Amino acid sequence: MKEIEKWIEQFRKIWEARFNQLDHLLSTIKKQKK
Amino acid sequence: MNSNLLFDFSVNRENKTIHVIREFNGDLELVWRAWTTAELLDQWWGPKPCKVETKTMDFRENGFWHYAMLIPTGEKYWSMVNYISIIKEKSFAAKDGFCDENGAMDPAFPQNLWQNNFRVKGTKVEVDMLFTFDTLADLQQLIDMNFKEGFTTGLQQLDELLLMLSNK
Repeated sequence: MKEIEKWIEQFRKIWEARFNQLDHLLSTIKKQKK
Repeated sequence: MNSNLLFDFSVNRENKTIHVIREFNGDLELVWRAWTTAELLDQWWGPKPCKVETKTMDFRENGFWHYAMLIPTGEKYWSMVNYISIIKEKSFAAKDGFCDENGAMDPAFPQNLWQNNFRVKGTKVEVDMLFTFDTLADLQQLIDMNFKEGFTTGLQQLDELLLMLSNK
């Protein structure tokens, strides 16, 4: 079960990293629109 | 992570689901476009240091997104997202899994069901995601595959990157 915990943590980190990149992208696009 | 934005992550082992809720600063049209067009997905989907290259995007019910994840060691991992249902600017559901360069799904590996719901909350948009795995064995198989294929190499670099960013 430890591997499952590890995988879940990696899964969470992947999405967290993606979301941060999406935040940055949305912010960039909004600035370009202004 | 932007601390002003909600990020909730929970695992339900009984139901074999992972539930993620995240808020984004942006209007609904833009957030929806970021999740549904190759032009924008390619710019954020690959968690650094990985990159994503879309081969085909056909965002419609029964359509698909076929893309490659490029990891720093130079390897490419092909994935396919098959769209099941779409309600514009409200929700979409899909099954995703591993495939080859030509888009043939690899039957050796399970696909998980993925549902995304979009809700406007004031000046933000909340995205509610539910990943459902058929069996715990499926989850275990994905874990085994990740370790076997060396995907963790990229993830370890991601760990380092995240650590570096958190220390700033």
